[in-house]
Amino acid sequence: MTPDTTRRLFVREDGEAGPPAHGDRLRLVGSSCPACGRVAFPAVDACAACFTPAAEVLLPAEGTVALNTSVLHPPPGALVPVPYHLGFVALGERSVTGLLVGAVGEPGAGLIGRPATTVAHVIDDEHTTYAFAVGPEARA
Amino acid sequence: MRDVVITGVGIHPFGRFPHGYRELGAHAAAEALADAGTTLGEVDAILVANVGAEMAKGQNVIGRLGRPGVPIVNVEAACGSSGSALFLAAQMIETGAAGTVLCLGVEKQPKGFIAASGYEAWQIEGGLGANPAYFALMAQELIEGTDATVEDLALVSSKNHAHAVHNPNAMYRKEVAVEEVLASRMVCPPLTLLMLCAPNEGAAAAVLTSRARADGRDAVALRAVSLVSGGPDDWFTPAASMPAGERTDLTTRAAEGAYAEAGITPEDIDVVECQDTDSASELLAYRGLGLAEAGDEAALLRSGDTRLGGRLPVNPSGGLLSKGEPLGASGLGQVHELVQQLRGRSGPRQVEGARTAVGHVMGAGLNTCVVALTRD
Repeated sequence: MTPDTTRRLFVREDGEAGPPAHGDRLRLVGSSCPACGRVAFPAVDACAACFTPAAEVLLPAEGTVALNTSVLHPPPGALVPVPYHLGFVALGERSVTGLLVGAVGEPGAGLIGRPATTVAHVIDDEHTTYAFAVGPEARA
Repeated sequence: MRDVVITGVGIHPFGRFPHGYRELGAHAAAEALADAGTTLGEVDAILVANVGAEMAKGQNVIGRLGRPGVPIVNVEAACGSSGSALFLAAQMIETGAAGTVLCLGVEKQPKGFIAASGYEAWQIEGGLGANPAYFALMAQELIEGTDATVEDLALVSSKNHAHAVHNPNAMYRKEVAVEEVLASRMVCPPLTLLMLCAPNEGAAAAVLTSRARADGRDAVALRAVSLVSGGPDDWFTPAASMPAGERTDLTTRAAEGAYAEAGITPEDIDVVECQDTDSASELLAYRGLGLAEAGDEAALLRSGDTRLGGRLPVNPSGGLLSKGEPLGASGLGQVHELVQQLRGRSGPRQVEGARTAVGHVMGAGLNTCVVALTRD
């Protein structure tokens, strides 16, 4: 993706350095405050609350869909075709926005509580982002 | 805030027009000055709120009216832009830095999705730069966490459209039934087209001055302008993530600041204009502004209290859902409505006996402004 920062958004879960293939498991790169413990994504240089220099952390690869909706009309600049699902996935202490792929059903389907795994989403030859692969069953 | 009054307001209707932003803005500014009985030569400073126009926009607009030679300062904070301009103008009067300030908001916003809303390139390319989606997520959270339903979202829109029938400055002036709102085109579930405001064009202005300079004009007291930007645990679009646990609320913080500064409580309020970017945002504002307890937002709506003729009308102008949203002008558009309400000049949409009014805008980048106005 076109960078606005030199920071990485994600790394491959297998630790390899090369670009991930579509569907490879990823870990999102966030940050954690050594003083107050606040987690941020994307990673920040300093904690938003106490301004202490923050350290990079990898967010859990697996989480749960917290909220979801669908986009039916293409927003400006988007490279992904409509319709698509997006939502918040709770990854530990942070809920992160992302595309929802996998067992997502029709636009507008309710996905709250479903398990979701962070994966690579190859849009085209030049653009790879992260997405959340949603599983079929709600977490107990 | 003890010394700030508004002596004049002006508006260019909100809608779609063949002419440019300079004419939109000049119309509203001239109307506000005429309403105040103030000439451009009596103004000490001019603040101009706008999001999308070119450089030196305020200078370009005011140039249509004259070249007063006083400072012209351009202010931008997304949908909260004119709240931010009003904040600065009020501080200038209260501290004595200026005796009279003209505050103008103007916008000529293209149709459709708002581009360049603060998303980073990776969000835009990856499909995450979609404002209505985030409002839809907030709506879903409201429905999941309270007894509010999608029918309540439609009722907000129906209520505000009924108000706008009486507002010649609104873009949409036709009543819409709850069923029509529900049946309109789906944008981002659960939000349909008629549950979302349309970005559009318009301008609004106010003349602020000190009590000493008001000289028996038909003035309304500006008792508080409380502006807050994002804290560490707030969330509002377009942030890429939010705390998974408890969050703080921008509107709550801004409202508490405004009420403390004005010496009022929510029980004192007679009329409200709030940021109904979408239907759920109005219900969330009921909570944030202290009009309803958390969980009672939909009950307040259903009671009819927030409808014209009810105990506490909200968005008697028709709100952004009916007026449309010219980003830089929306906050001053609310001030225009509330000043005229407190003066008793609102015709068929008059809130009888209104003496205390509250306005509320919020925007991308996490900015919220709550203003309190009273009739002495």
